[in-house]
Amino acid sequence: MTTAAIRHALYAPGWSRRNRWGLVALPFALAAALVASSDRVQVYFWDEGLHRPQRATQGAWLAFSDSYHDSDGEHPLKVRIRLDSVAPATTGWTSTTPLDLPPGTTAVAVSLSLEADPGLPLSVCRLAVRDAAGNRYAYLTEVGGQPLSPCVPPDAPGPFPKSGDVDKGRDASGAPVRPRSWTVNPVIMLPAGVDIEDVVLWWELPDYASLAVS
Amino acid sequence: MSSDDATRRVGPAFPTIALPRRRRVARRAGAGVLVIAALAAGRAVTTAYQDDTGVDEPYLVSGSLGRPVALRYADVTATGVDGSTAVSPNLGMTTTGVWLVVPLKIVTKGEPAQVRYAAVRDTRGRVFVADGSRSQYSPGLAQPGIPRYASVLVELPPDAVPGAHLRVALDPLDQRRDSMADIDLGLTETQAREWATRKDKLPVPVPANTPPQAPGSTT
Repeated sequence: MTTAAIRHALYAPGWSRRNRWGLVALPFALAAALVASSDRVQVYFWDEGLHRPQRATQGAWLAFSDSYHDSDGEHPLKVRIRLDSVAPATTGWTSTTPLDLPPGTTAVAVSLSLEADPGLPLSVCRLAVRDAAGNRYAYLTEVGGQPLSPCVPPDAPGPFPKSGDVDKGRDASGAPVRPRSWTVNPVIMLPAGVDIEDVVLWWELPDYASLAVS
Repeated sequence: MSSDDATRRVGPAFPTIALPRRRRVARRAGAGVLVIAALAAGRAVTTAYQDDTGVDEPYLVSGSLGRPVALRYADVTATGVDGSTAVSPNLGMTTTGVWLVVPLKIVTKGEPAQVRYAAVRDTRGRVFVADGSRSQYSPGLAQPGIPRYASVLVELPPDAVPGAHLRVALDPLDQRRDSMADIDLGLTETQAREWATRKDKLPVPVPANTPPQAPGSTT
């Protein structure tokens, strides 16, 4: 009797046959449910981190391509970047006063060459160096009293992104005009003994420039 | 292979007949009752411990004075604690309660971060957050691997001092589902009484990458 019941369950047109289309659709339904409930992965994870690298090595030009947002919407951001050197530093970028570093730390000057349209707002950027383990050490203005932006000339940073009504009555022209090509030498403090793997530079996440140190 | 082993369609092992309509309805109703019972059981389990919001709570990591507390984003150490009715910030502030000053050492992990939430929780569950112009805490950005020193300044009623715990977390606006230090400051009623009458103006050092030389520091 038991054997017969098992054989019936296996071979007779039973539950699995009656529900075959439902079974076929089940994996797709599960996948759709996961996709539908994962919208926050984009907002809270993907767009909040360094997830889409554009890579180059030291000494080579990187044609970095991203977009930026201002009060007028989304615009293309195209800038050429070259990592020239990463060298020990004893003063801040624009200072001649020796750095007062905490014990167990050191500082490096990151020399970058950049080329971009003078009318492109580029001053709101972030710069950091990373070691082989992925630890990230950021550019801090308080180290040696450095300029706010690590990626534009301090005396000619160019325009800022448009801010709508906030711009009324303000000089948003970006004068003096930023040159078409320029170099920067921001200084980054990090623990002594760290081997720097790459320099990272970004405007709007998740895209970033990764410039390998050689 | 004998013909008995061949795969072939077989009839049911027992006679099948269409169920009467009333039994079909009863079966469906029974299935519906089971679904509702399962939902009710789930609800009962999630509310059984009066902890309906438990899934949104931070993950508390216990610690004590002078010992690093390992959080997801940083190691946080309360290096000392001191109290008085007067403190140095804002050209000097006094209170009819107690000013509690807790110097912290923060070493972030992996990436720069501001460990920006600090509050004192007393034994009655009252929470005094250091997020204003009087009770203050603003450590600044800490580079990973480089210790950052900042002090938590909190104004408390004297009866909140004994047994108070310091809580430290990353985000001042949202501490849900992330680790939070819960440091027993080891405070007694004697200290509470003493600090509630103490007139010395306690210095509160500004945040820096070098250790402060403040009274109360045990390092």
